[in-house]
Amino acid sequence: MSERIGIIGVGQTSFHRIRLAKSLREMCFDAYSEALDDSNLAPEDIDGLIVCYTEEYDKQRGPWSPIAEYLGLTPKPVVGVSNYCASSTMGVRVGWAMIKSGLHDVVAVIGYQKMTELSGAEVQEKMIRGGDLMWETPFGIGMPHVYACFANRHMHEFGTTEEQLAMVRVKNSEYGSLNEKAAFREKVTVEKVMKSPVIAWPLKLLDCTANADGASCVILAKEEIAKKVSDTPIWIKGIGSSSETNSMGARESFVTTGSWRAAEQAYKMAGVSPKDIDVAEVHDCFTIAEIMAYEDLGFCKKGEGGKFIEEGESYIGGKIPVNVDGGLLCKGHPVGATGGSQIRTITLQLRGEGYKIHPKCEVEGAEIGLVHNVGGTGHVSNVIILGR
Amino acid sequence: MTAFLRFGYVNYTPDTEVVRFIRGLREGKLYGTECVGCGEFYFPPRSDCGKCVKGDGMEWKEISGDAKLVTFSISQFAPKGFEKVVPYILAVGQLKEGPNVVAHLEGVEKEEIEIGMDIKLVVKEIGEDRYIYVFVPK
Ligand SMILES: CC(C)(COP(=O)(O)OP(=O)(O)OC[C@H]1O[C@@H](n2cnc3c(N)ncnc32)[C@H](O)[C@@H]1OP(=O)(O)O)[C@@H](O)C(=O)NCCC(=O)NCCS
Ligand SMILES: [Zn+2]
Repeated sequence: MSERIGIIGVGQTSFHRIRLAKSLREMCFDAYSEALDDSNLAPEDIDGLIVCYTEEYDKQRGPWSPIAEYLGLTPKPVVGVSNYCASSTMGVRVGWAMIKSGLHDVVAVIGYQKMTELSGAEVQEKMIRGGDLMWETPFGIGMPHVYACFANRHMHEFGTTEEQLAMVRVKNSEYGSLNEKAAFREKVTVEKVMKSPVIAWPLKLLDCTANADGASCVILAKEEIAKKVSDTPIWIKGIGSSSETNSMGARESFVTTGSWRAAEQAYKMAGVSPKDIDVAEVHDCFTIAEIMAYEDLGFCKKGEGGKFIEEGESYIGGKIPVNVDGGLLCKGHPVGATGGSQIRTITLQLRGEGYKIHPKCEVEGAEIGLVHNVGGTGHVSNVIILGR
Repeated sequence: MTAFLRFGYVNYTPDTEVVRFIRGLREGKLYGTECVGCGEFYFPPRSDCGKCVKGDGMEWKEISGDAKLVTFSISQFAPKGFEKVVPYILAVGQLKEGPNVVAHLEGVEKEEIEIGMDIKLVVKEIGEDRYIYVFVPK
């Protein structure tokens, strides 16, 4: 059997919307230090660094350089990875390949974003420039607007309701209220979501994730080292990645982010199917995104995502518990850090350490977990399947 | 001023080979491009064909504007720079000629919007010698 790649350390700062007296280097240090401690490794054991982020939310250019220095990793190789909201799962993909190739033994993947220096409108102005700058950005087509287009089409084709969208936030807030590292701790009702101000109809404020600050870190190691330093290494069993058109006009479907392609690759590589997944973290940047993710990941058929949440199938105790740490909706979404946070949650769950998020968030006996991380409006999708 | 800056409420792309598109807008006409080599049709226009990647050249073709509404959203939130435009209905319409186009939908009430409805893409002057295209009900 070919050599496996294991996750041996995870760390994450709190995600927050309050502007703290903390620089981005200091945020990254906190996540790195926690992951290093978790891994039982010494600083000198790390032989490569990957820093994941999206440009322009803070002033630092080439953040991989100051971060490497601040963490004491210069002069080791350092890579910068920028794939919007999927940056840190792309960093894990790159790190996987760096180890698999034999170039590296242990790689740290750090994701961060510092967004509170800007207002929501300023952040969206940067996000819309990630779309078709020439023909679509001039219409002010922001992230909530595109996901609202997905939602309206989904409602039209499948009869999905605004209440079903709201139910996603209700579920995520039930678990998010327990997660000390989440930005939003309030438990909400369908009524509260429905009554929150419209952002882009049919999406309201509580159907949206929020910009936040935070950092995450995942430490990857080759099999031999992973087994030596950890009693519970979590193995990367499948890793899939796909892209979608930059312009919305060129999309073939408005009821998917296209991440089913990445999912197919990951399932095939892992040799498992959706019914084998015990716990999942999916990219719920908007409530409709979680509903489409159920479908694209094969947790239910296309069009049945609304029913899946309504019947409680994504709660602990349902078919597949999804985002039982609060998801992006409640944790907040520091874009470069999000994928690493999802991987942390699944790693803890598979180790039997879900109680570290909160005892009520633990999925007992989970053996196989899935991470689904989308950049932009599907511009890039990563699906990673992890196992004990 | 580079001519393509005349397109859009906010424009970030001054330099392009399809700048001739602006000439059409001034005449109230919308042009796409068709690949001379493989026949692929593009709207909005492209100067290169991404299908055959041959570089045989493109031909300008006027479009009818006739389209059907594929999906939409009603935006109350404006990214920075779009405060004056909000609220807007952002629509995806499929042209009779094939491609989907993103544009604002104007001249309809929320209750009248129905996915699948007939709409038309037309040129709109939004300032002095400044243009955009918008969907209107047909
Ligand atoms: C929805 C959105 C447009 C609201 O932005 P905004 O109007 O500038 O919001 P503000 O930051 O001014 O916050 C206004 C209030 O709403 C709250 N709020 C903002 N976003 C929220 C959210 N997602 N959930 C709950 N409350 C939220 C704030 O805490 C604030 O409350 P307060 O006044 O009690 O402090 C913004 O959060 C957004 O763009 N979200 C999507 C981010 C995104 O697209 N990420 C990438 C996706 S892949
Ligand atoms: Zn061609």
